[in-house]
Amino acid sequence: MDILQISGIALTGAVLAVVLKQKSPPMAVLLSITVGVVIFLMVLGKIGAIVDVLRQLSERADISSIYLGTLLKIIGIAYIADFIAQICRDADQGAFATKVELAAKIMVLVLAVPIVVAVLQALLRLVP
Amino acid sequence: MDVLRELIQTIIVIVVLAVLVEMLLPGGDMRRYVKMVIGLLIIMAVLQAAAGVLNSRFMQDVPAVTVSDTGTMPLEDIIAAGQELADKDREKAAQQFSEGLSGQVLALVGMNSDVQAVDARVSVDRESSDIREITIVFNAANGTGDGRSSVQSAGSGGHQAVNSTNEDLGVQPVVVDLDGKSIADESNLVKAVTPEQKKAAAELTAVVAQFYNLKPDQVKYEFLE
Repeated sequence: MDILQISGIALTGAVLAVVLKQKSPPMAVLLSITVGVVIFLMVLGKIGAIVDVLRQLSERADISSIYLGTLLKIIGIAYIADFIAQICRDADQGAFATKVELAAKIMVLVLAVPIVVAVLQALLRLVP
Repeated sequence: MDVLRELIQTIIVIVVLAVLVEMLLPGGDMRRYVKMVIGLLIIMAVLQAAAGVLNSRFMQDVPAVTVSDTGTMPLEDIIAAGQELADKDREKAAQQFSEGLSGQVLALVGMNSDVQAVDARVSVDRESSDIREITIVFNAANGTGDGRSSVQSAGSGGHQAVNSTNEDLGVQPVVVDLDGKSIADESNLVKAVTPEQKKAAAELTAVVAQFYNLKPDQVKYEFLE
């Protein structure tokens, strides 16, 4: 069971981080990053199955693969930004976390521009 | 009825897709932004499905305004595509230049009737457009010089045409021999290259080399076997 392994890694990491935080705070931050990356890599292989299902559904609904790709990119950006922002907050760097989130929001909006334009064009064409 | 069923099926798939994607969303502040984009996508999908039912063309393809992840145009892709296009054009231009030169060489060589040139291969440097090498291919069976063409002349056994006043018209009587044996015999003649032909070919290559300001070893000739 992968979830047991992941839970074990997370618990061990948490205990070690608490201990390290008192003696060496930088090491605690490094440990939290390492644990996060390890857990992410463990589930990375399973994301492919979800993406396949999404792709099949989008083909069935006649949604362009470009739109689906944009959507997946946006979700990826959101996850990465969230992950990094959490690490920054753990390291008591709230300002950095806010900046990362701001950058992610801008990137999401930039990626959404083609979709917004397409929706706008479609809606304008509906008006006689 | 089928159209309606198709529309409902598509909308069900879109709803399932939307729910699945929403489950994937991260928590926190980013969720609102991603949800907005997903909402737009769902509007697009439903409009597309409706347009399909109405057989209307108000839905367009992906707009031309596309932006990469970084917010800038993918410059490397543009440069690479431009380079590829330039290479293709340069290759085409070199090929046309080579073909044009080949025609020129053939026209130049064709002025000499002792030998018959059938092809001229011109090798051109792609970068500098300089001529690397010219190879002229002659047909050893030229008929005008020594009477060995596929349409065999009467040769020594024939008589020149004369008019009613026995005046020589200078035209050789022509005998077209369709007999296979004769053609087989002629093939032996075709392969034979006379010293005169070789000399004429060498002179022509020298003329071509001089005409194009090339070194003598850059212009070669060969006889078709």
